[in-house]
Parts: sequence; C-alpha cells; structure tokens
Amino acid sequence: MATEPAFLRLLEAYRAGDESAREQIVEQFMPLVRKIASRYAGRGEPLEDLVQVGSIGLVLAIERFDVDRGVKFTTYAVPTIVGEIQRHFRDRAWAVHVPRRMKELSLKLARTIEAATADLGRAPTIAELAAETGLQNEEVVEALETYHAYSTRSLSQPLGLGDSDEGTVEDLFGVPEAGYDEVEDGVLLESGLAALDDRERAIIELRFFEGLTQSEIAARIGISQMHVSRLLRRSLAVMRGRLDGAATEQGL
Amino acid sequence: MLTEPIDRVIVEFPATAGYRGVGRLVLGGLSSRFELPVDRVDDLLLALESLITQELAADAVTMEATAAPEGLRARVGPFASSQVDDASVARVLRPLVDDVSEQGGPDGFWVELGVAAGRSAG
Repeated sequence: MATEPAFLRLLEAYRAGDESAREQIVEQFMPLVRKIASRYAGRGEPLEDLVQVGSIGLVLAIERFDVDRGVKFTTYAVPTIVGEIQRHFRDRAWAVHVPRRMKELSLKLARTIEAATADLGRAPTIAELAAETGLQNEEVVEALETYHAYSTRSLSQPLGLGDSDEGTVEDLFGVPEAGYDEVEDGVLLESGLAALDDRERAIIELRFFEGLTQSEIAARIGISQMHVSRLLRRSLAVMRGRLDGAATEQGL
Repeated sequence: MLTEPIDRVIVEFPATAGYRGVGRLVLGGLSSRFELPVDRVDDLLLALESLITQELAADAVTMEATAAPEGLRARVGPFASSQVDDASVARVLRPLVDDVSEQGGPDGFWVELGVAAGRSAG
C-alpha cells in the first residue's frame, strides 16, 4: 500500500489529468477492499460481488477525498467502502423474503420465455406467457419481478463464452475503451464502464450503442433474455454508483 | 387489449430501494394490457428503475401511468434537477423507450416515458 506522501503524489497527478495515477491508487488499495469485503462474506452474497461493490466505494473515496481536511486517506476510505457494501446488502435484502411459490413460478417463467422465444422467433408478450403458464397477466409481471430480485449469481460468473470474459474488476480498471472517446460525456461513461466486467460491458454496448434488443443480445451471446435483463439492471446499478461519484467530482 | 379508451393509475411510493419494486409492478401490470414483447416491457421497467434512483425534490416518487390505445405513458417525479439534461441519465432512457420528455415546474422536474402500442421490439 502506498505511503501517505506517495499516495498524495498519485492523487495530485490523477487530479492533474493522469488517469494512470488513479489506476495505481486503486491497485494499491484493492487489498484493503478485499479485507473489508471478506468481513461481509458468508451472508448470502458472493465475495467477488462484495469486492466489486467495495471497489466502487474505493473509487468514490478517491474522487471525493479532500486533502485539506488533514485526515489519512484510509480513514476516509474505509467508511466509504463499508457504506457501499452495506448499501448493497440493504438494496438486496428483500430478495431473500420472496415466497417459495413465486420463486418457482419465476423460474418456470424463465424457461417458458426461452422456449416461446425459440418458437415465435421473437420475445413473447405478457399475455402469451400468461396463456402458456396458466397465470394471470399480473402474476406474470410479479414473477418477472421476482426473477430479477431472486438472484445469487455472481457478477463474475462466466457466461460460457470461454476464458476471455473471466477478468476480475481489478484487471479491468484502466482498460481503455477507445470506442467511447467520441461521445461528449465519454469521461463519465468510461468511469461507469470501468466498474463492469467484460461481458457486462459487452451487453451495455450492444444494448445502448448498437441498439440490439434484449432478445437479440441473448441470441448473440447464448444466454436467456431474462439473464440479459438481469445483467443490464446490475450493470446500470454499478455504473450509477461510479457516475454519481465522477459527476460530483466534476461539479455536474 | 384495452377495453377502455384510457386507463390511468396514479401511485405514490417512498423513494427507497425497498419500494422501487412497487413502481415496477404497477407499471408492469399496466403494460401487460398491451401486446408488447416481454423485453420491451422489461426495457420500460429498466427505464423506470433508472429514473427513480435519481435525486428527488420530494420524499416520495409519484408515478402517473396512462394506458391509451396509442400506447403507454408514465409521468414520474418530482426530480430535483432536469433528467433529460443529464447526459448519463438520458443516454440510458432514450434507447429503452420510444419517447422521453420532461416538464419543469415549481415542485420540480417531471419525466414522461412513452411506449407506443403495436411496435415490435427494438
């Protein structure tokens, strides 16, 4: 871990425009994130998810740290990292209270959507799903909602695309995404995208830059539409955390 | 399909994570009246989710959802600042729904999301 003077030099360099300096800070403080995240392991969330959430807290701390306050960076960063992890648990707490019947319905619905999409060549409507499963329209909507809430899948779990998409969040910090440089808010966008793993970034790019539908993305990368939906939600949530911090720093 | 010219549902719910599902369920339920592919419904709910995590000008989210033969509209707010002017928010919303508009007022900013009936996914 960097000494305080070394850290301050890196921070100064980052704020002067040297993005690699922030990457160095992140890299040097990731053991701290891992240590904190490990305290929250065994509570129903995969450790790697907690590390990823904690890394968002670390980045926020880097963005917001005020050197003039006279406190050590770790003194400021630890509660920020802990706060992000605790918020993650709060946001997901209701997921564990979903009734068993609704969990079963949501999984049945996921299978039905896959089969119906293959049969129809497009995503089915709510009414078609209701007819197929014998549920009311509202029950289908509720089961879809449940599916998104009832998830213990790790953000780092591979999608079966091979070894290339198995990078960790630490591996990805600072990886340039040249294709986004042209957009006017490219700096903010990169800040958000940097928090995602390869497959999440690919899905965000396909949906928001190339304009593919969820079903088209699902077909292209070989997962279900509902899985695409889940990854989109989680990716956007992760990006929001990063964007909020970066926007605050930039006074936006 | 809709049997009335216009259906309107107004719901107010706390702006906390535990209640966001309420808004999604209401809007999802209303959207089920249309023959929309499930991924378009999901996009609409994703847009709503992205909106209601933004800073509000009140303690609660108010959502007025209107279903008419031409499509579904959801008016959501009040937000503390313009969401359409926020590039990071607008960039997410626009690909997800057919129409995004905003009105500013004394109580804050209100965003309206629109999904046309009868348009295929994408």
